[in-house]
Amino acid sequence: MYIDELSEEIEICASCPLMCKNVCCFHLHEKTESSAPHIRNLNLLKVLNEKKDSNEQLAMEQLEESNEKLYKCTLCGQCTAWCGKDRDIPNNMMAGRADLIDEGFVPEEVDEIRRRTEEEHNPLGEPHEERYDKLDKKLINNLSQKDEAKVGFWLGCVTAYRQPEMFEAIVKIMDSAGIDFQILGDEEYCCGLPQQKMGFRKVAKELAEHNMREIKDRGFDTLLVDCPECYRAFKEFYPDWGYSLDVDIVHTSEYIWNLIDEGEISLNGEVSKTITYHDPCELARHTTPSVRTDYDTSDIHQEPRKILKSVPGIKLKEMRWNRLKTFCCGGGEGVREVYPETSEKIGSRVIGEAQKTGAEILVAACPSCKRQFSEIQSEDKEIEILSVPEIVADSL
Amino acid sequence: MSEVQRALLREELKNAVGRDNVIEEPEEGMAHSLNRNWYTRTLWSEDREVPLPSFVVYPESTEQVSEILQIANSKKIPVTPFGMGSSGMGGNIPVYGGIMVDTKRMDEFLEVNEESLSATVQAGIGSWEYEERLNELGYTSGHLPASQFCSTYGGFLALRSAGRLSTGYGKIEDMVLGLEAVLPTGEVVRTRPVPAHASGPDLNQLFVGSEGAFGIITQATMKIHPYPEERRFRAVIFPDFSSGLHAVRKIMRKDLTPAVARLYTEEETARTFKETWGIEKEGSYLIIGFDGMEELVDKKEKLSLEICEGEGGEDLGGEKGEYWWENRYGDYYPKDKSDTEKWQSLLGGYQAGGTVTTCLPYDKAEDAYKEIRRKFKERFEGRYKNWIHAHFSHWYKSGTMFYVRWYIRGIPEDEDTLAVYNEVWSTLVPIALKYGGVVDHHHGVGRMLARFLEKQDKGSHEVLKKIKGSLDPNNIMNPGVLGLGEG
Repeated sequence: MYIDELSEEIEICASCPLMCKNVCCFHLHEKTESSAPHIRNLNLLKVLNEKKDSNEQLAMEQLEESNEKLYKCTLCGQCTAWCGKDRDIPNNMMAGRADLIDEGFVPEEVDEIRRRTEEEHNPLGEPHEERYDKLDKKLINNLSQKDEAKVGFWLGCVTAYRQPEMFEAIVKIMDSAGIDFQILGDEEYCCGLPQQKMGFRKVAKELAEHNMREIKDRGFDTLLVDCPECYRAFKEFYPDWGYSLDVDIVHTSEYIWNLIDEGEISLNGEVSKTITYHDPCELARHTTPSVRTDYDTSDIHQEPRKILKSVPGIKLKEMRWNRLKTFCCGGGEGVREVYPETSEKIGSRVIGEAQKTGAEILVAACPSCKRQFSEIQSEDKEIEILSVPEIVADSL
Repeated sequence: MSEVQRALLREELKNAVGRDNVIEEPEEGMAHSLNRNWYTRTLWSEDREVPLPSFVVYPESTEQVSEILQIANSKKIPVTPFGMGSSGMGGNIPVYGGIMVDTKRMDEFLEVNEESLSATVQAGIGSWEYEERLNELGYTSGHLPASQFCSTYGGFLALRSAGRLSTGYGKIEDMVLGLEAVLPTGEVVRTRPVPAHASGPDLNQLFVGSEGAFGIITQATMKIHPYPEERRFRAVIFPDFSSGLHAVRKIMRKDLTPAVARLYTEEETARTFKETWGIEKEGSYLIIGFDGMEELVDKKEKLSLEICEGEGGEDLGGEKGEYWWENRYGDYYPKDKSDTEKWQSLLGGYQAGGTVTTCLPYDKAEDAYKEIRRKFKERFEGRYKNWIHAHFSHWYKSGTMFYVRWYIRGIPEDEDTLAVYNEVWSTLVPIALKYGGVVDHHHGVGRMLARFLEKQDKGSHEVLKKIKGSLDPNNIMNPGVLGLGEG
């Protein structure tokens, strides 16, 4: 079992005196004791203890009982950022989920993600042939065939299907800087991280294998990635799985900041608004050296802020929970599917915090966060939700 | 409880608090029962039966708490109140099953009165959430205990909690201005949040420290303080613990009142500071810190250091003091399995650990600690692997509190771990009482220490029994805590 390899981690977290429960977004909203991180670890420890006592059947019964409870976690990593010893509780949860799936105890809502991915190469359940239907077909065809461009851009499923305006903003920025780039077009499949997080490790690797082949075939020097989840997949998980992309993986906020800093683009249009920036978990925590040091990583708190501050007229206000201690949007894999009400409440908390700053715009650097905030915001839309590239494109 | 009774109770509770606020799954009860309790964690680890409630109920208002207690009282069903579960004294173990009333869905920050320096909150608000909200407004509660991340204000009040800065800001009983509580029979009591009064006995203090025996605290108005202009820490090493004790006593006597003073015995200095922080000097380590206006902090710090020097203390500078403050919670996170002796005692089975916290006049404190340590060693050395050490961390003009941490491991499987645990308390607490100390200073009595409360003072305990009998005629509220309501 996957959790066997993490037995010490699980035991320590299960015995720790409750120090991270106050920041666990799920626990804070469900407000039950059984949803606290240490209890989730205790459930896994029960499985391990039964196994240790050679009670295989009891271990399986215990695992089956854990079923949906292991999905009471957005995998946001706030607990890890908070923990005095950087314990990686999301990793324990992911291992537990993978074991659930291997043993056939997968919750129905979660299994739906696997089915959709296997059929359509994306977890949203949208037809693969409609991946770019919300974008200009000619543009997509053109970018898909630019074999000579050394810069590649990875859209990601959520941008392609749900947030096409984020990609349109990127195109505008790249045009303004005069940079030629290409996309994978029909050969872009889901990065695999959502499936990995849900516990579908085999499916995740199949996706990664396909993507690796396609990316390598294109011979990029640089692969620009806007979705923080895809970015983390390429930076952390693909190397862990033994898939080398042989390309520089750069997040768009790093790239755009360089364009601004080196004078390749000029931001002249005034955006006279007060804004606040929401750090996505994947960018702020999971790719931050202070949390994880065992892979090539970068700390991306500053670049989005530098970009936003360089837009004329913008006043940036910080939310209470920011940078490494950012609060999850609630859209983390598993929670959105199995516990949609809690997912919504978690996201609403961020919107509430954003409003408290007096901001007119909540800026997200992640298509999934932007989608989550946009979908749960009340009908009167008290705060505008935009992404970093959109703000930049508006100011060009 | 028969199935019929259970079904009827379920329906009544759901009608009282809403269907989503009643949880019956054993896992939820288990999560409450285990929490931070050594007793239940040991039972769990040794595959023994862990007491569970029949229902966990999450009220959202005072009125709902009142309805729950009226139902429980009419049916004579025991009720255990619960906050966030940081208590280690067993006061929230549902030993008689029944209803667990978890207050964490009553967590509103209701009001702040900046002119009169007070804030009103529902009892289930988390301590860290409350402090952050105050900090945003430029204030502090002054109450920052080690359980900061897993505790509620209702819990603090029910157990007479003390924070790390209690020497400067006081304990929780000094911070409460007014409160609201629901009596075991369902009536609601509200005291007025005023700084002082002569309108009869102070009823706040009837509920503060009552551990749920007299009802459930549902709301409180607390004193707040402007966030200090200056907060500064210092480390000093004394040749021995005795000289450090005299130094801090003199500092208190001169009204230099630090926000915090933590004096570690030679044993704890060697174990904690030498092993963990690599401080090679031997002796007794003191962390001292001051809050307030910069000029006052300068002066208090200077005069205090002079007193320390006069007692043989060597100033180790501000950096080491600041380091302690910045890392004050670090020790609570196990760094690896070999480091987790103290936390294994929460999970591993066949081992035991606890903390005696007592409060004594200065002239008795040193002898009392030495005898506690000696008796522990005499009784358990050779029987089990063990350690015991202490620090003194809450200071008053008239006395001090010591915090004796003890630990035992390697209890043979044919011995009853619970019996060994109880034997340690039975060895140590009477010594504190013999020297004029109290059963506990800030963790509470719970069930673990209930048997000693009568020995502290029989007459006082009789008064508590009479109050209990009057307020809770059916003994439904947390029976057993404080030695009340059982039998």
